[in-house]
Amino acid sequence: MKKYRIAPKEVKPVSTMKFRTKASAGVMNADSADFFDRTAERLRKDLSGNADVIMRELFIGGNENLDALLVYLTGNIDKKLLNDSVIKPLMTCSGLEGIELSGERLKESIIKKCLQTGSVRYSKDYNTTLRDMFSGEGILLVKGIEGFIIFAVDGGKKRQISEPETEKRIRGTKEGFIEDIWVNIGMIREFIKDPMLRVEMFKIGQRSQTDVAIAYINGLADSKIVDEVKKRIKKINIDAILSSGYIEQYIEDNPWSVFPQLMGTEKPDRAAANLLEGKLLIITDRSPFVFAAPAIFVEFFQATEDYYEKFQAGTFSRIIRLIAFLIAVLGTSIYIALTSFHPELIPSELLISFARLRKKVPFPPVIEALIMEFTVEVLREAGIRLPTSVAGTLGIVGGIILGDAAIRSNLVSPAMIVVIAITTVCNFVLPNYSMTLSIRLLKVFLIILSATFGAYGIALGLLVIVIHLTKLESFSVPYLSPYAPSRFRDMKDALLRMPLWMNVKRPVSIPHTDDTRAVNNREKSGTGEN
Amino acid sequence: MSYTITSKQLIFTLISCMLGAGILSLPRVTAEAVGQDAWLAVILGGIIPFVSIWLSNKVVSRHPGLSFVALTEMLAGKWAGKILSAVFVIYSIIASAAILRVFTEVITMFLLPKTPILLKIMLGLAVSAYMAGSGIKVLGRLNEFLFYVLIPTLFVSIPSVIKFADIHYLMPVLNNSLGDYSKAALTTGFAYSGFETIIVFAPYVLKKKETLKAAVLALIITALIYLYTVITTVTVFGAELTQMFTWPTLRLLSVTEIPVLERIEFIAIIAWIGVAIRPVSNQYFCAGLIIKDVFGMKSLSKVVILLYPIIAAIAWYPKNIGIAFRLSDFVGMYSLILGTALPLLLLGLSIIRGKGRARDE
Repeated sequence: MKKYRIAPKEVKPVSTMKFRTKASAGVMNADSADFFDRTAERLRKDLSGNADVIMRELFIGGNENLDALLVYLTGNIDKKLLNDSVIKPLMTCSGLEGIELSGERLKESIIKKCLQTGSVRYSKDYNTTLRDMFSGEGILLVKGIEGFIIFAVDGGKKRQISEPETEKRIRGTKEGFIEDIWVNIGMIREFIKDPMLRVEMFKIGQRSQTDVAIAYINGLADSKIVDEVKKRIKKINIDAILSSGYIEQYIEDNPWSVFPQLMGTEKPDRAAANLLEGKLLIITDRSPFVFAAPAIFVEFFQATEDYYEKFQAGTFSRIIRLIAFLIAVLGTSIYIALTSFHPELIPSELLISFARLRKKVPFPPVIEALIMEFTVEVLREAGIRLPTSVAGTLGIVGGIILGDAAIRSNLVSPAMIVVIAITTVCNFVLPNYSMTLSIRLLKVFLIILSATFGAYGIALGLLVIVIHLTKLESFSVPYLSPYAPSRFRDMKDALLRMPLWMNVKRPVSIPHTDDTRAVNNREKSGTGEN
Repeated sequence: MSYTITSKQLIFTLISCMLGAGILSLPRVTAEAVGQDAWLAVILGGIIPFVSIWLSNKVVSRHPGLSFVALTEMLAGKWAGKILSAVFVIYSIIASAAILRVFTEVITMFLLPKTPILLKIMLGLAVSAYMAGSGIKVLGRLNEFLFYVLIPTLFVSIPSVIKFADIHYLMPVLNNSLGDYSKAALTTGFAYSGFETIIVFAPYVLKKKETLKAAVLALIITALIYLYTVITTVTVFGAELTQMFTWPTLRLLSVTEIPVLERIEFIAIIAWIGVAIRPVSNQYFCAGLIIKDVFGMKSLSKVVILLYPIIAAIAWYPKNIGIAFRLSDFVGMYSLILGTALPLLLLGLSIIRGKGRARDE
């Protein structure tokens, strides 16, 4: 896979290290030899406790006057690449006869004649060079050159690109993002080959020095939002970024909200689709979750498949998901409200059978519900931690045996089991995992309200949720748009999914600078406009 | 002014100010006044609000960019302006409390007969405080969103209308004296209370030219919803029977039985909670905003928290539903007077002082 590199930054020499920048060309002088020895000594001292740092001494081109020191991390590089393209050519390099053994010419010659790797840079800054070495690059120190040659040989172990567990699809690409940021960026590039796709890099985390990239399409994404995201990312001051979730929690608008305000995805096609709506992506090294900002609420009900299948099927699935969402959030609390506050609402035949089933259960419905919710949540937590083979057994033991035994021992009524089972299944219909986590919290909130105030509590609780959603903004985009504020143009692709050829304009909810997405080729031409 | 609403949101904000507790008892009130001509009373009742809206818009458009408090202080002088603001704040607080109380009475009757009234008031008011404290931008969006979501529930009554309605219940037309009609216009005018908030909201509208159009449209939509409610209720029950029910609109829903759901009016009540909480919140917001501006405070949410116990206490005060209805009648009267006198006074001052138009152009 092709590597994408940012241009080397201009490096300033640090004050602790004095470089003699005016190395006189021509003969090998004492200064540069001195630099080599001093720096080698310093490197040995600084890296003395690091067992995985390899320092390899060699003579370039077999010339015993050309001492060189190769430093790299043994675990983070591609050893075959290092041997074949760096060490072997360096030692057998033959193009160095007849040139001066120091200064600019020597550097040029080594870079252009001896090193056979793709990305080679030159830096004079000791500290940044050390950091680059720890990011998996190799550094070469040559007698006669007052600086470091840095070359990319990073490789080592990488996870195979596979289908992500959390976003399984029937149609569309099976690829999912992996941990390596460059591979992920490359995957997005494979979907969008537009040169206007910009990738900017940041290093966040004092100690972790994690690469964080933002990607956007220049001339499509709104520059204000791009600047805002950059500003917020630069403001992060933390020792280490271990997952993209850290970035998410640092830059989201309302950290107290239970709703995800950035859209996380493991799928490159979904990431590309977000880019094409004028959003930007935040890609973090070591994390397969790429975040798109800004995000709006309805997007969490949309799956990429909605677009790949015919629009009728897409719209149908979206409506199913909305209903499932409502059942997941409201199902249990409505059951509690009905049985304990408003039994007159239940049709009489059903009420009789409910009463018969509940007769032996000693608890009020809310306790029943909390017992069952707790059991389901515990089973779910355990299911995530356990190995797949055991998780299956757990499902059977937990789900079937426990449920059956709970009914037989009159701990819960069968109706409650049905309600809990339906709400739990409905919870997983949503295509986004973060949203399913929010639903769990909303569910508990509404259960408590309905247990105390019945339908009134549910209605007020729902209102609070709606008010909260209306208040939320994600990078100055209202979270509940295109419904509040209403933008009718966007409703063609929100809960409904109109045919692709009708969505010729990009959604107005997300600020962008290029409105045309497609041309409607099905419009009748020649017969005049209608 | 940093926060603005679109003219579309002004429509929905005004509708939500007007459409609240009144809609449930409106058929009874109008039927009591003019019998089978109840629908005519709805139309006549819209006249005073229309005049008020026109006057308010006139005042606001003469002095663009000024909030309500700045406007009154500029036209009436510093102290007189503060008094005018105080009159409005008191109105908003009482209106908010009265609507909340009637709202709570419905909850008591249909959903929670045993829970203490104060607890229900406090809970409902907490939600509306959350809504009011969110600021005008969010309020505008919410009013719009809840309108789309909840107004369709009005039409659950269509099956019973189709089954039982008899158009003859509306006959004979124009069978009352002129005095009756003018009295009916006044009493139904109460149902429109909330329109006077336009003078607070109008300065925040993005496109000033569309303000009047939006406000009138809001009035027309409200009138149509009221007409629909009154006509359906009267054609099903007849004018005589309509007067017997406290909440005829909800009774209409209980006429039809829909399979699976034993009593459809519950769905309507739950949806209606979302409808009725909006005038409470909007009035609450108006009171909070004016107080905030008068004292030059920065945070709206602090004012909202301060107002909370006051509104809760006023809402709790009526001993029974009869006094609660009288309180809401008082609010209706106050609204009509305030809605016409205040803009008229301000317009007069504006013309006398000659400020405004000449300077702005």
